[in-house]
Amino acid sequence: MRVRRILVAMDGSSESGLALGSAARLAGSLAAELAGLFVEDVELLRLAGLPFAHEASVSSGVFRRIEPSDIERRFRVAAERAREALRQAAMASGLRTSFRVTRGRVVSEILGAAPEADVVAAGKRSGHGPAGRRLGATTRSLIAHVTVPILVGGRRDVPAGPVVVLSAAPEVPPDGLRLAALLAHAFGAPDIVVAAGGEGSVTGEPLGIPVRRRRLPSTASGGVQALPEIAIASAVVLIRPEGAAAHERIVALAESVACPVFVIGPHGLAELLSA
Amino acid sequence: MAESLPPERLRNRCDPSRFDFATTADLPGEEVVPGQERVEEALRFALGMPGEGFNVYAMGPAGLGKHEVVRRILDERAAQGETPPDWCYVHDFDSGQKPKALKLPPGRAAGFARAMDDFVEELRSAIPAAFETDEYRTRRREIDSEVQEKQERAFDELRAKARERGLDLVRLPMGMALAPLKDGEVMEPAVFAKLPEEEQKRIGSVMSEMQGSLEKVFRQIPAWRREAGEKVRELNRAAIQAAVHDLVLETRKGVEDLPDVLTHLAAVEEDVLAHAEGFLPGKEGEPPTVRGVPPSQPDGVEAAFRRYRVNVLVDHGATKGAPVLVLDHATFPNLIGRIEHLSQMGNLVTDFTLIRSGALHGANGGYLLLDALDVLSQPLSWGALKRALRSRSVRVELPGQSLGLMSTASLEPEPIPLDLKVVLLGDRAIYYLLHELDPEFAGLFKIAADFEEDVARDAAGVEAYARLIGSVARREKLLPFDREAVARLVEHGSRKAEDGEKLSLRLRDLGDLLRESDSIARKGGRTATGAADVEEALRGRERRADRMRKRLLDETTRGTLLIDTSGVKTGQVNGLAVMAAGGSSFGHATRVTARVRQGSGKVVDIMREVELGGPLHSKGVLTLTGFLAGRYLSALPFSLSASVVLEQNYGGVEGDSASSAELYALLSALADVPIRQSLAVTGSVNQQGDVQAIGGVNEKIEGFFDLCARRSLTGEQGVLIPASNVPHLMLRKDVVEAAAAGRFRVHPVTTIDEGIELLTGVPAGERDAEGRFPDGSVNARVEARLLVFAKAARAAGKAEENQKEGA
Repeated sequence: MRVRRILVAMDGSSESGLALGSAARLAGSLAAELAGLFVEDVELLRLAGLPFAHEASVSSGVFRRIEPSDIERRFRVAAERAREALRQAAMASGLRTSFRVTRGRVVSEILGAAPEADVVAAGKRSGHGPAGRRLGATTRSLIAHVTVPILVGGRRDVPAGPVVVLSAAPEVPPDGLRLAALLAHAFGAPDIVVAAGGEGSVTGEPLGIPVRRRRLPSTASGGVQALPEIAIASAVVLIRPEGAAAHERIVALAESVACPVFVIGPHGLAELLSA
Repeated sequence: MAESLPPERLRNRCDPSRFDFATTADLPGEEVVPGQERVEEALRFALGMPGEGFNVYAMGPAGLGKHEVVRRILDERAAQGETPPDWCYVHDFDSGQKPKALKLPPGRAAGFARAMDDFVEELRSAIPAAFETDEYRTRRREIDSEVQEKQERAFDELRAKARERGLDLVRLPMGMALAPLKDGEVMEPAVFAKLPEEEQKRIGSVMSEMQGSLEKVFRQIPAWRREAGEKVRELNRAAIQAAVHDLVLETRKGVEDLPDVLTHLAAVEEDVLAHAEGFLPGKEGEPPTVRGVPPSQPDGVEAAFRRYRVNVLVDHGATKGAPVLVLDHATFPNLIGRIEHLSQMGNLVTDFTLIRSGALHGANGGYLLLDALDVLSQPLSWGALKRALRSRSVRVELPGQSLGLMSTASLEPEPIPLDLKVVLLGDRAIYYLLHELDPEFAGLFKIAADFEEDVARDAAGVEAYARLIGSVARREKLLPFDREAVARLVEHGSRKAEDGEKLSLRLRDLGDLLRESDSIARKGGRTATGAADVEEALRGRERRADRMRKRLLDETTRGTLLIDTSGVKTGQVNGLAVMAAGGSSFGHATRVTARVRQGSGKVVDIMREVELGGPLHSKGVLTLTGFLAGRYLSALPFSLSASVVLEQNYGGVEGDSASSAELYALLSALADVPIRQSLAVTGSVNQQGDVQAIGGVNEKIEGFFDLCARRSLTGEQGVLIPASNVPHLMLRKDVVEAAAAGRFRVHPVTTIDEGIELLTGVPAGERDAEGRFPDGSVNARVEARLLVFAKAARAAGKAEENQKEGA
């Protein structure tokens, strides 16, 4: 397998913990290494250095003054929590891990580290702010700029539903199905549902996982949400669409489903999976 | 001189030919205890009285069969009574701390409890099913999205507003902050510092303005969440309403006629709807734990379901008529019920399903039998019983609660109305003590049923006794008793009653004797128990309890204990005492001696001086002193100094039955007339010299007889008993036979004069017209001796006076 290393962007929040969970499952079934990365955001340090920097608590809405030393301390605590979460996740499945703390702009640091990894995993949002469905700015940037496959989010209660493969093109490359089968093993999913645009045929039963084919519903008839399997999916594999609105479509999908979303390009799959 | 009694008067024999049956199998089966008519009437009266406080204290010593008699009457009465309702405890949906008591017709509580169990089981699957519908999920997602969208919109608007003013909204690990931007990034502090002061001020004021807006958004968030929560609750309620209503309708079917139960079901339905979400299993599908340890009581969903179950406290499904309950161990919880607790991580927790009934619940609507001593000796039980009877309700509480010692939250179950009759069984002393010391007792136990200890041995009494023997034999599946055996048992009944004209009603003893005789008869392979079997059983009893009696007899014949049974002695007489130990009693002789001299008119009771004599014994000695002082030389100072003692008695003595013996010893010493040691004496004496009845006459006579028989009977030997004790004689057969053969005598005496004549063979003497006793008579010699003492005392007094004057 070519997946040797999965980079997990961690900020010590519960959302990044969920992404870590998904990454650990995948790493477990691929025998890959989990590389944790914690970035100390210089923007925050900068902010705390301003004379009128105030922070509003999410729970109470009360403002209080913050100092650079507060931020430094929080970085240490969050990094420690992230390291501990990684250790726990690795202990459960006996994975190799590494953990690194860097300082800089978050997206740049992750993008800088991404080429060393075969897959990048990130939480849907930082999880520090008010709860919401939207993808955080960092994750949006990663989806836009990361060239390797990216795994977004995770969920606590994984329903034992299928792995859903979404593809705008009628044909799904065989390697795409193989990856879906690997994910199905990782998440304990019973089968794979391929939802592709136009007519196409299903090819085989990769790794012993049965595959069902469905037509990808048009946007007019409800889009992806109209697929009955999407609500109970263990994971979604999205073949990265092409075109101008591709990024927005990926973001919208990641926001609308509760399970982890694995975004891969139509090309490069062979490299990823070839032995 | 008093004649000795003829043998037929020594024992009131029962002639078997008086019975017209061969064995007790021929007798009617109904078990009636003779002689307890008053008790039965009292019981029937109390049970028939509807008013408050007509409870019964059935009293009498142990072994009378009180329990059986009371139980039989209660059972008779209960069979005609109505079966009382069932009672359940159900959850109290108002406060949760005061479980409600529900009344159902007899036998229907269990069915209702099963219906509620089914209801819970159905709920368990119906509720999750209702929450799993696509419709519910979609609606739920809509509500969640709505609040999230509201928040996002608010922050988007805020961010846009901030951007217009050159600021940005930044997420921090613990909150949000506003920051000035430069080239799309947060401004460096150094850059900021270089800005002109005007600009810095402007940014500062814009920041504080925006902070105000941010604060407003934050403040709205909880309200939005509450709103969403409310919508979710409404949604949940709507989702399960139909299913729950349907289940409640199903459950109502069995209880349509019971308004209270229907009210409870309505409360259950409302509660299920109000707590719909609580019935969903935990998100991870794992049982809840406290620090990793699962709690012993189901929490969460299980606890929520428990609230709808029914705790059947009293189930009369199998009861015919009114209940009759006997409580053997009347502890506080056994009496009024208890609230059990479960230990959960070191905490004790409870709920209405852990309420357990007490005897008062079980007997409610019927009858409860309690042992008075048991209730009184159990902490808090007596007070609890009285409270329940007074308030006519029973409230289950913890002992600590009733003492006010517990301040932890516990349950306060609704009291259950009480309508029952309590029968306390106990001895008389307790009844009188309660009457005297507990002011409430008389009001709560208005009826006393006083058991007879014996019944007259007339024709009816004997007939009834025979029937009683027959019915016990039948009830206990013993062999029938033939008429000879019954006759022997009648005689034993008289002996137990210590009265030839009465029959003992100590049914426990009778029952034991019947069983023992039966066992012997069965071993002998007989089809009916005969007199010989009864006799053998009685001999067996004697043998088993014989150690002490035999030991005393042995030591007397060996001469360790000095008792003469022949010859004559002055100032010495054989007294008789009864020793009772461990349920058996026997008589034995005690030497009584007296010494006299001139003195100050005092008879010293040595037993009393050394505190071995009880008050009744002292009374006897003082009474005989009164007799002496009043009868002889009443005009002169009583100048006697005497001492009396029961020789070789080290264990103490009580009772005045030796007072005649002590008086005889004194008279013998004063008159200097020897007493025949072949005779023994019992009886108390009054100040007039009359001999009065005493107890244990049979044992006393037999005690002396046994000693004499050991040494061989001479025909001279015998016992002086008070004439008033003659009806009490029920002597052993060997004593009667010896008397018939002229080898042993029993003399009834009515006065001291009669007795002293028998003992000394010298006439007692009566005063003549001049007030003088005949010369040579015992009384004349006593008076002469006392005169000598009086003169000597006077002479001594004069000498003393002269000495004083001389001085």
